[in-house]
Amino acid sequence: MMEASNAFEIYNLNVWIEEKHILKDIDNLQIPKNKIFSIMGPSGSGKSTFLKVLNRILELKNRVKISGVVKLNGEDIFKMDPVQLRRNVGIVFQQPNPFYHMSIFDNIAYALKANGFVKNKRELEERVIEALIKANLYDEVKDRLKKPASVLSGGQQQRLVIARALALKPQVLLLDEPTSQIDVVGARKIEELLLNLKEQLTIVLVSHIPQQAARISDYAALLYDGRLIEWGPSERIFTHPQNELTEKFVAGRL
Amino acid sequence: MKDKLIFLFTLICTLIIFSPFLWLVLDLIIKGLNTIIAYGIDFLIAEPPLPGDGLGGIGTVLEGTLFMVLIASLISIPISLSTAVYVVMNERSKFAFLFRFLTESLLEFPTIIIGISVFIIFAKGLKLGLNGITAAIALSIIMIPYTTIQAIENMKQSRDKYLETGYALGLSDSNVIKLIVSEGREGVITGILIGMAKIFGETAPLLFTTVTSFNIFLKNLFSPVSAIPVLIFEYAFSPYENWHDVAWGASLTLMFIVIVLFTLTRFLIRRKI
Repeated sequence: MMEASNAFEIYNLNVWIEEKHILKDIDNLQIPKNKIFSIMGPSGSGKSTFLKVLNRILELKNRVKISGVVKLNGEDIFKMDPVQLRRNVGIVFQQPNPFYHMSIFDNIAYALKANGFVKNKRELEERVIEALIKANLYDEVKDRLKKPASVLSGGQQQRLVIARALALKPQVLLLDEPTSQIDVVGARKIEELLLNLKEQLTIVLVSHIPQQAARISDYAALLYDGRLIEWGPSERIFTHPQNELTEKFVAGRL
Repeated sequence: MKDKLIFLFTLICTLIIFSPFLWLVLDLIIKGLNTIIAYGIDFLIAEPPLPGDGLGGIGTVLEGTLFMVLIASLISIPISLSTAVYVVMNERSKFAFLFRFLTESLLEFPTIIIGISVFIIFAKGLKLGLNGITAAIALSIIMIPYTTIQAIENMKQSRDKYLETGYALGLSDSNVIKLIVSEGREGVITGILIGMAKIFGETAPLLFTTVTSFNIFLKNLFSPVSAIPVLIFEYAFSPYENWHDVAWGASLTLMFIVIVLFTLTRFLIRRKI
């Protein structure tokens, strides 16, 4: 069987939260593998909701109704075991949220142990260090792995959270405005990190800053008021947008 | 000038309000210490004296109190924790609402009624008799709402912080609960300590569930037993001077235990913030 070139395929997606129609008819959207795909749009356009549909975290909320088809590697995600899906599709939220009551090491080790992903202590250590290296954080924390996560700066905490997600070796990493709560230097480091990571996995990035999306993404989509306005290769979206709203958003006028 | 006057006025008011309390505490410390120093550290392990027969200790009732609080905690902690987990994880369900409502009502329930109900149901009905276990059942009913409400409030905070994160890391339901409980553990322990402090000094339900002979050490789980507050109550109203002295010493011991527990909870709460 030929391996699909798309990580996600989305057809006729509609989402209601507490009777409110949040995502409206998002159809025929394909997220290619091993690329950075940016979801852009002003606040309240449904970006985060869209992201949370992809690993079914949204369903933890009360009174959520979802219709439509979302496929991961050609398989309907709504027919999958959500726990398995989430191990394959990691997510990083806007606010860095490490487990503050745990050490830097345990922040990454926790899910590996709880999910039964490692056989012994040596393997656990290897996986933790591997994840920290992947997240470009190892050199900064290698001498204080036993220190609590709260000693890290905001940018480091966010990379720790990325390392925590990477440790599970997901196929897709979802990021919800991961740099909006941290300083410029920290944000730049995360952008570099994402560029390195796309060789290993697919990245879906929610961003409300068009410049960031333009800098790092291969593909971009614009959501506006819950509707998919336009999507395609970043080059085209940022240089020759076909929709007036996209043009305005890219120019910072929306 | 006006500010100073207002300040002085509030200070004087505060002193007036607190003076009876301070006087009470000082009186308790002086009289209590008098007894404990006169009898020595054995006060905590020796049997109480016979009427008019000099000083004695509170070993039997201290043992009884510690035993009851221990058993009451063993009963309360699992019930409180599981109720809190259920309420926090199913906040919108009708059962969660009902559990929370019942727990909060229990908090305001007169403890003497809990005592008499336990006496009727357990001591008489189920023929458990008057002993540490029966008393501990009554105390656990008093402890549960304190421990449960504190656990709910703390676990709610950690749930809001880590529920999505836990599931996002592919954790199973039970592991997400473990994560939430472990993050909120200091708050849960605080709740347990508050509950224990509350029942250490509880008297009313013990009047129905313990005996008033204070000279028996525990022989087994179901031996008749008494407690510090009951001894204080009985001795304070007795005509014997030496029993009054023992009651002062017992009061100071009880106050000391409760203050230590409250200080611990303050310390834990502050650390959490």
